[in-house]
Amino acid sequence: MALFKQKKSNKASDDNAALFDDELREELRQSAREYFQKIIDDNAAHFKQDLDITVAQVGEELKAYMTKQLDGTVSHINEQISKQLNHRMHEYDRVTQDAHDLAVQSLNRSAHALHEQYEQFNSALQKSIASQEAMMVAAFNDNKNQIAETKKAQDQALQSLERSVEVADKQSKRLTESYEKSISGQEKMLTDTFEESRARIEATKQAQESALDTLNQAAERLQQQYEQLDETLTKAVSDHKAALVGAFENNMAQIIEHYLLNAIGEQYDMRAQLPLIIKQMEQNKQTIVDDMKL
Amino acid sequence: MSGQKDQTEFTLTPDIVSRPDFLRLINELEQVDNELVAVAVREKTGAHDVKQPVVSDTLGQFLEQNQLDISDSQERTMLIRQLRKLKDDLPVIHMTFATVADRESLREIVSWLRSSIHPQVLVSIGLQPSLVAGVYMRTTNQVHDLSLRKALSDNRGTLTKQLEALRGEG
Repeated sequence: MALFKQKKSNKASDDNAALFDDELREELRQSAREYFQKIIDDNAAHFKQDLDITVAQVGEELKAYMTKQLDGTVSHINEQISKQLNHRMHEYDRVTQDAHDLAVQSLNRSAHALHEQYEQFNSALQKSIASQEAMMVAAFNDNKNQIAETKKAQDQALQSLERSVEVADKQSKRLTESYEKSISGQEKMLTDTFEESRARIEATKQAQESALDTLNQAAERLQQQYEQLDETLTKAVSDHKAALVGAFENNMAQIIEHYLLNAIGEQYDMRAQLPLIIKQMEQNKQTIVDDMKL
Repeated sequence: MSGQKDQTEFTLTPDIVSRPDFLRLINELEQVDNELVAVAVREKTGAHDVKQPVVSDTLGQFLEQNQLDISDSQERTMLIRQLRKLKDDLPVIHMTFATVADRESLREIVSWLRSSIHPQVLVSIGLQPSLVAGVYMRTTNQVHDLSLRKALSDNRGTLTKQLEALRGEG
């Protein structure tokens, strides 16, 4: 019975081998090849799309960053210039106010002194109107000179204020020049940064293209290895199949032989075998005789 | 005895198949010799109811086929001596059968062997059921496997070729 079970098992494996024939394996290989090519194309398209999106996003972010930096720098410079101008204007106002105060104080003092002198002159005039008229004229002249001096001082203060304004204008020009220079430097730096970023992006793009080439080469090598493996596997399966078939045929011959021995072994008794035995001995008669003579 | 024979001239009957059969023949002949000597002594002493010894069919056929007379004591002694010497010189063929061999079949086989191979050959019998059918013979220097198992084994290549042919057709 065990022999017949083995026979069924061999038959089942043979059926399986027939089921997975070459055509089915070729269809499976073609399907796997198309599926693998589709996955590679999808991944390449996704990778290219992600790369384009990343480059565009980097460009936009760089532009926004540059604009933001430029706006910040300009606003900072404007703020500094405004602050300095305000400070200078405040100083000019203060100087002008001081000069005005000094002039007012001087005028007040002059007026006060004049009033005192006038009082003195009045008193003196009251004391001596006619004789002191010359003295009053002289005093008047003196006061007039003092007024002229005061006016001169005011003119000087005005000139100083004008000079201060000129200095402020010069400083404003220098600041403008410095601002323009700073802007040009910033622009140059930003341009350099932009060029450097663009060079980096180009290098990254080249690296990605190189990576894509390497990936394609690896895919080709993988395909070649797959074909070699498929060929080797097919040959091994064929050899194994031939060996199995050979072993199966040999085993089947043994099974048939065993079956025949079991089937007919008990069918012959000695009387039935006797003609066959004598016939075979007759065929080997000469050999036996020769051996017995030795 | 009509005349003295060389030991190689003795003819063995089909009932003497193996060496034990031949030894039994010698033993029986010795026993008959002893009994005949005893009968002769009793006859000399005047006994009247002396019984002659009875010989077996095998011994009787052997004596008849070889035309031997064992009434004379000296000839019996000579015959026994010759048979004892012959016992060690008889050729033996070992035969192994798949089933138990009946006496009649052995007799036929031995007859063929003695007519075709050697007139005084003996057979050593063996039993090996795995032979299925046929016989496995061993002579002095050779073996002859004439069994069905050997025949099937020799033709296993034919079976394999038939299976290959069937596979090619399938």
